Amino acid sequence: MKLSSLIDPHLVVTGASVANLDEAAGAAIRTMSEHYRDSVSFDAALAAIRARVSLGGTVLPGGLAIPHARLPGFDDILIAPVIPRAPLGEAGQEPVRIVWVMLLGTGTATLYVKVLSVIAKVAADKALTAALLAAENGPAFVDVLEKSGLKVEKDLHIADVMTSPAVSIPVDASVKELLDLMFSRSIHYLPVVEAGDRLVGELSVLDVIDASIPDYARRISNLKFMDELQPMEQFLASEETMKVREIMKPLNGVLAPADSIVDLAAKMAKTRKRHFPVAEGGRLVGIVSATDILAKVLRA
Amino acid sequence: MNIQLIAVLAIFAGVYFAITTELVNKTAAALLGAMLVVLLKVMDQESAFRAIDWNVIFLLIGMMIITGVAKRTGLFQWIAIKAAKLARGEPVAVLLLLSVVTAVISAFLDNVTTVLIVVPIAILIAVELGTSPVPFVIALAIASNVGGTATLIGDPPNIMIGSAAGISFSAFMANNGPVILVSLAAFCVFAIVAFRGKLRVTNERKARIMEFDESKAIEDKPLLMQTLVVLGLVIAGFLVHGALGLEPSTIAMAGAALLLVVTRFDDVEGVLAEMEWSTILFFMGLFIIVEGLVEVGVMGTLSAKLLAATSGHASLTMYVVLWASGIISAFVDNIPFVATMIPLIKDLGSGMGSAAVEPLWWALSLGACLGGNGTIIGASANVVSVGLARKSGYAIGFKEFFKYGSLFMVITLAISSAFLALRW
Repeated sequence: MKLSSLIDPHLVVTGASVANLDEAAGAAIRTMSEHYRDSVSFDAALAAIRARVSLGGTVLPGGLAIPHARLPGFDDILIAPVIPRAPLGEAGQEPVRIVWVMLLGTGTATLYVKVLSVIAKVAADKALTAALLAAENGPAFVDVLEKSGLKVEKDLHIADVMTSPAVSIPVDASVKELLDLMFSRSIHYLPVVEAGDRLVGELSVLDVIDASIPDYARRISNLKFMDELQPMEQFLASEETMKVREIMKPLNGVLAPADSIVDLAAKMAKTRKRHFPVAEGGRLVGIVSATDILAKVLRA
Repeated sequence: MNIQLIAVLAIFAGVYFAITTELVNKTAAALLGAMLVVLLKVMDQESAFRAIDWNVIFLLIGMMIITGVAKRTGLFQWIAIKAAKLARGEPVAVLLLLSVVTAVISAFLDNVTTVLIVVPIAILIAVELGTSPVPFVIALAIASNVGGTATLIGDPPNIMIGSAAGISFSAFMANNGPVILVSLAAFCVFAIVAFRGKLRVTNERKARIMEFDESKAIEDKPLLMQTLVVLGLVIAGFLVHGALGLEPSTIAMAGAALLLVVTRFDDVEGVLAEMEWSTILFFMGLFIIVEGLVEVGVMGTLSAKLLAATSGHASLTMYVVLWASGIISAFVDNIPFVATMIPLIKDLGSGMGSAAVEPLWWALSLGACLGGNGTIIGASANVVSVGLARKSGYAIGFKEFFKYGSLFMVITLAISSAFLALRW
């Protein structure tokens, strides 16, 4: 379906005199509660929006703000784009030019993510954004969207939730470089690539720890009786000379951008693996993690 | 020869071939062979199922359950660390003490389980000592085979022989025990000579071992205490099972069930899942195939020939059984070998009188168990120990093992011959 068809022109608030995101949300909810008197109560909806905003994740990089909430017993989707008179945002952050306020029902787990991914495309398109900002009223705003032809995908795919581009580690990097990268960027998982981003393996923090513990030590039910383990000390001492190639794990499940989220969820449940590389034609294009599912599907 | 006879011989040869070459999983081969025996109507299903020695099967199951719980108590780690500290980190002394500990444990538990518990900790101690773990791995594999020979429950061939010949646990200890004590003493001398030069350690490394705190190896004291009490009861039960008129399998299964109940063990499913069901099914298949051989008269013919060849030479037969069993078991899995020999010796007994064949049972037991030391593939304990070492980056080749194993096999078979000569 087209994004433009999902937006009721009455809900577009142009030239709003709002000073921050909360006021923008307030202006949007007011409009919604006027036009959808039966299903939207101003106080309840605003409280729900504020509660969701306090959880975080409603302001995204690129000047994208999507305050939203799920209302129990509500079975529709309302999108109210609010165009502030002056861009919002704190110093040092990218200014927010359009605030997309959304109300959804509790049963639509993936709809939000699908809409979000289209709105992200809008935000990334400078010309389209300029045209939207120039719209004088609601119908004109929706008309601009209509002409853009942007569509809300029917199904949710890996490409919609993955983190891209992915941070990866070259196969010839040293273990020290690997650990430094993991530590400095707080990442638990890295795909291993050859020249040209060809995916060849993967490593998690646990795999690195695993490589430092020899097989025999793992077979002893507990090692509480000792304070230091010789092979572990050796491992640490050789992290500059040891290569990622020596300790990387073979790929265990690679996804394609077009794969379904349901398949990913089932894979995660089955393998207890929390990260999967996403590749196209053998080339790494992204990573998708359990956290992505949490943030972009379960708590979207 | 009739068709059935040829068929059974072909099945038997095929299964043996599969087991030895590992072309097919041995349990799969044994089960298929067993079912072919029934499908070809060599015997009906009822006789086939009756051929399974349930005393053996339940004894194995019972001991596997008891072992499954016992190994989670940390007791064996505690013993191994204690032994290493008692030896003050002196590598040869550590190796000897660990070998003795392994022999004692494997006299009461399955050999494979024993090495699965003891070998990793021995490798750990060797690595922390800064010496090669290879002598430790070889020594412990050998020690577990030696120790397992001592009792009725120590090694599967003994379980089968005990059940088939109606030999009690205490009779086993009385007959094989002294042979094993002497063999173990011989092993200590052997190990000192063979490995002393390979084990050099710095004082700093020895001190590291002394820092180990074995008390922390035991995580669940109540579980340990309950397990020790039940294990004690089971061993006491084994010692008097004859007098009580109970089979060892009843004692083992009762002990296993009691242990699971009194410890309120929360991971019964885990213990059951870890059991070697494939070994148990392997036994079942073998029993049926061997019964097929008996049914078509192979065993009767063979024993008659053997009887004719050795008539008047009872003691010669005994030595032949001992050494032939030893050498064959060094290359072939001793479980199917013993399963095949049992009806043969039983048949000889019906010709010579059951008292006359008693020494043959002992010769078979000693030969089949101790022969396992001959090569790296002679016993499951060797295969598993060497596999554990390989997974930790220490490869042990056929020759390396053979150098020590075959020599020690000859020594123990000589000791066994001496004992058999004295006794019979």
